[in-house]
Amino acid sequence: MKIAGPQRAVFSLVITILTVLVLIAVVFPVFWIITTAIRPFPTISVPKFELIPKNATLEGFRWVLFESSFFLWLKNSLIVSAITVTLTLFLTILGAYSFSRFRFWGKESFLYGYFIASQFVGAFGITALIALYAFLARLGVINSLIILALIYTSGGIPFNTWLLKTYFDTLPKDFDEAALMDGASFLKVIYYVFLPIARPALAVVALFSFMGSWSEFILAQTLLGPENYTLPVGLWGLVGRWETPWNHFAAMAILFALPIVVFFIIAQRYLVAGLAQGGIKG
Amino acid sequence: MARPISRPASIWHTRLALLFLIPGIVFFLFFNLYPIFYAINMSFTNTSGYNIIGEINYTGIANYKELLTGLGSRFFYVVVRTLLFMAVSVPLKVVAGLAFALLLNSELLKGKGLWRGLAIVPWAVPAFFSILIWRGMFAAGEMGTINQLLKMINLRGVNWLFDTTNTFIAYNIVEVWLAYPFMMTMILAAMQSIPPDLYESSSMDGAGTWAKFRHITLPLIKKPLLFATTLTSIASFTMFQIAFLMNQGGPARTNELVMVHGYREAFHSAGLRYAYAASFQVLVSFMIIILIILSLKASRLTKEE
Amino acid sequence: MATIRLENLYKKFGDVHAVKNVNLEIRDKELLILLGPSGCGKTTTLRMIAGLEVPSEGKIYLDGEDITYTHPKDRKVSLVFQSYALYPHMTASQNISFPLMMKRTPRRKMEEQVKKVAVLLKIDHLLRRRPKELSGGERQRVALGRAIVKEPKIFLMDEPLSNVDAKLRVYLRAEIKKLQKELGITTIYVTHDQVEAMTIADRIGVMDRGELKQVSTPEDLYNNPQNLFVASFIGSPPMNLINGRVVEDSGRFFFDEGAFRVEIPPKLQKICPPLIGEEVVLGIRAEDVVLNGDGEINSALVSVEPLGYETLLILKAGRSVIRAITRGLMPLIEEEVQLSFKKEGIFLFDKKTEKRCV
Repeated sequence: MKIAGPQRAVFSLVITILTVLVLIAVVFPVFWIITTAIRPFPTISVPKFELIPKNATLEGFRWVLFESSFFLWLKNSLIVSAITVTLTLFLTILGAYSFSRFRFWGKESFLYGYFIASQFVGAFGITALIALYAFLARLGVINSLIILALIYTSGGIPFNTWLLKTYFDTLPKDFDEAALMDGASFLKVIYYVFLPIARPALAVVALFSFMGSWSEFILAQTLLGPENYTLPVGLWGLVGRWETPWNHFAAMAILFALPIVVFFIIAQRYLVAGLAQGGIKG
Repeated sequence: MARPISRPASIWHTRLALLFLIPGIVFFLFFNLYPIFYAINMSFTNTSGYNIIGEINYTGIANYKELLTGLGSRFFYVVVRTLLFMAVSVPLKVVAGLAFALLLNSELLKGKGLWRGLAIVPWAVPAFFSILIWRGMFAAGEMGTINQLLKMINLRGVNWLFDTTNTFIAYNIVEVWLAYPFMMTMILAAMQSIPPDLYESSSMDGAGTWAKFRHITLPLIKKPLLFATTLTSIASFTMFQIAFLMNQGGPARTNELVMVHGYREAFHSAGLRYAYAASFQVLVSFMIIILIILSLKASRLTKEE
Repeated sequence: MATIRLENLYKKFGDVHAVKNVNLEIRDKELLILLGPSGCGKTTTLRMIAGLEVPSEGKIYLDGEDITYTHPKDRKVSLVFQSYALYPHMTASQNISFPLMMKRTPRRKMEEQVKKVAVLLKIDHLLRRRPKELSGGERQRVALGRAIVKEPKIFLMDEPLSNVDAKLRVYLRAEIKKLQKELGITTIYVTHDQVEAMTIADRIGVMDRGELKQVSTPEDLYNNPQNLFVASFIGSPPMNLINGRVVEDSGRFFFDEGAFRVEIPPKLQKICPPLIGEEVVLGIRAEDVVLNGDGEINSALVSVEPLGYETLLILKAGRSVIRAITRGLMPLIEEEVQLSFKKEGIFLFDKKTEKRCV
């Protein structure tokens, strides 16, 4: 039975109000960090609840830009992310093309393995971290941005390869064959034909690997020394056991998280599509 | 000049395929699988922060023995605590995800696009960053925002992160906040793939809202829901960031989940006992593998129905 | 000079025989069409010549040289795809010059050649556009341009006109024929459209279920089908095929349908003795069915399909359906009609081997 007329309008209003209330609660922490960034003093808040802080100021941002090590950490973060993105693209493009186009023995098993790995690799992160730490310490290469980028890249390979492969599968094979007939080698097919056509999917892979490396904290915090701190590690350093300069923290956190949030919004539907696919295939 | 290629089954069937794949696979295995074996090997030694660049000796199963029978070992406590966290947080996440999905999929809701966008905000913000925000909001006494809000509705403030049970509750709140967008998105995607004529025809047959949910929605989203639940269960079991960033599994290490415990044994304990931590992680990894196998079995069972 | 020879060509995909024992010689400067219903193996054959598939058995020769396992790019062969496969991110000019770029042709020479081809195809004003901004016919020409610019020895075309509308198709197929003759490039062209095949081919190879059924000129295929498949596939409406037996009656041979008898024409009489009592199929084209008052076959009119200038009658005689084309006489539905078959239009096929009896 369908609810009709004025009764329906009332239900609709109730549901909408309910949704808005729930979402206000959900988004509140984000709102809180933004207001905290413009508070005039470093305490977490005044003893009484204030929705909008009195005497709002940009002092927190001034401190971040001029008195903190923000730019050193930013530089390190950018180095790690740049290496991660480049290497990820290089490795996943080749792998995804191979999975999408070639027929070879064991392909289905490899694909299944990649799928499983892409879903569960995170579960062994700490185990791998302890071993990697010991292993790298023995080699004496712990405190290295490049090694960190290599580790980031490796963890994302299955997911990103899978993502790219499902996109490559949608491109007609005629393109490859035409290029092969025209005298291109497979590498040239990929370079001249595939990469330009698959640009949106490549952008998504680039975004995901960027976001992953940009906001990773545990590995970076464990492996890196102060001169190599990335932004998340630097941020973590601001958080004290008893006292935290929350306005400084909030200002820096906003500068750090802003690109991620923007990128996430751009890439969101691809992430959802990838997940949904995984749900169906798994 | 025509150059014969060696007996191919097809140009698409080529050794090049493996050549393209191998760099990625090798790379992945080297940093993700090899360390697991390295950890297994290390768990039989006395590797620690003090002899890491010196001489390391094999000590047999000493680490495991200490882990399972040693007086100071907190193995069982940590595992039980983690299972408890799983048992509480997983149902909460599923219910929250389902509730959000139903709400945001309701035909009575106005302005769906905007609300759906807002609902995944917790997913969009890097977890590392939002957990620290929660840490700030859970601050003790009158300084914590949550306590201030409680006071506004005439409730007593809570000493959140310095009390074992309250900390556990806080972990669950943050975990649900962080993970429901994933559950919701999976469920929404499944709901949106249900053809609307099913609902229309059931309306013709006189089905009410509950009957529609029970007999159409639920059976049709069961598979992705189960898949998402298994993934999120493993995420709960291996949860590290929340406990570590909120108060490092405190107070007094009473809320250490397995991953935090392993990490702290390795890097925050006085002995820097990597090998001992590795043996702990090896046992935990076995449990994770069992969980994964069970969850794959579960999702395969529903597939055959 | 460019000839192709296919020798005992087989292609298996798993358990499926896509191509079975194809032997074919394509002559210099010829336009040969591979014609058949979908799944008959014509495209697979083309792809093997292109080098995109490798035969399971057999050999492919280009000018006597074995190219069976040669890489596609080394074959001096161009392929026009059904989808055109124009690279969407490149302009028409970049698409056409792509093969030259792969050969590291100097820029000056590349531009010259693209220009030449564009003028030939009358697309020189479209060179800056991307495929998205081109009409179906224009895309077709760009795809042709990309194939021509390589100066291939052999042109391969895979249903190149299936993506353009009916009107344009008639125009383009004449253009392709003209172009092929102008350039004098040996061409193999795959289509399922027999009108297209009949109008432009020098010779047609008819394929069915992986086998090459008959290779001949369009006229010869129509007038002398060698087997039941070609008889039923070529011509519109298709040839009437009537099941029956050969019987002897006082020294003469007849085709006996059960409900009616037709005397076997004199030139076929001599092959009849071994066929007595055997199941055969009589083939007769619709235009060779005569409607007249004193015909030997009684039939009833089932339906009428006006074709414009002519009218197609569908009649039932005994167990058989017979189509006839008429211009004058116009019977009523369910009216009885007397038929006869023109003697010179009668074919006999062996029911078991499906081959024509001659």
